[in-house]
Amino acid sequence: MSLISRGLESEGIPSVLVSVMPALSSPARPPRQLIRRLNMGATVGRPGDVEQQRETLRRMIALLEGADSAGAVDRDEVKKA
Amino acid sequence: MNQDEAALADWQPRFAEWVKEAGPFLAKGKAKEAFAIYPWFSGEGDPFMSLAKPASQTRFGLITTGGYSIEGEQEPFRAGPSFDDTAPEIRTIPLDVDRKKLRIDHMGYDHRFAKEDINCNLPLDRLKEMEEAGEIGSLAPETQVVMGLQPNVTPLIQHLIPELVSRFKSDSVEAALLVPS
Repeated sequence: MSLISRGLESEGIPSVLVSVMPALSSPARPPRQLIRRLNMGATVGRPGDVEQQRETLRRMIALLEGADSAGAVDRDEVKKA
Repeated sequence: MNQDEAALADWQPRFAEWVKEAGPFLAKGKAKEAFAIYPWFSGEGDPFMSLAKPASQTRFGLITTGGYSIEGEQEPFRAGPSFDDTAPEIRTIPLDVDRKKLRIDHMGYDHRFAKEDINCNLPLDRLKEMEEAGEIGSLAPETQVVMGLQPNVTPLIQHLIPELVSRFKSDSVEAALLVPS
């Protein structure tokens, strides 16, 4: 997905991706990524959790609007045990 | 030319070597061991394009790697990861698709969340609501669906990405939302 993002960007289409596996999405250096602590198979939000799904999309759009250079990241905070 | 295409020549021999080394692991279902030695592709430079207008005036397109196809209307995706240079498949899903007809052909993730609520990783209803609320200008009528699990990036860069760019340009898409599964 990171390579698709780079390919779109180099053809003039701004893009943003959500990732729940930054170890897989980051090596290819996507232009903008939202890193969420969510499950594979539910990368936008939990089933039925409309607010969480909406939050993911709003944060992706905020990255599109706000980022001014490549490598922009918005990341869920990691809660310390 | 996509600037990542230039970096393919250096990467391809490393990938061919990996296919040889990882083959025995993959044959035994040991994907973790196989991908521990995978040569991650890293292109040249960092392409970046600013959003030209506020989101509320922008036309968005959605791409998912969830591997969906429409039961009874579309062929399922080829199963399993692809290692050769075959052009990766794309399906298009209209916004008003009957959600019950969506089949998931991707073996790499748990389908139970999407079966319960497709918006978990194909957020068509959420984006439609955001369009109606004026948060986004509009959403392209066709979602582009591709398959994850594509370790060979050569056909991805040479065929899949130009095709996605071309479809988005015909749909007048001005910004892309990318949702893996």
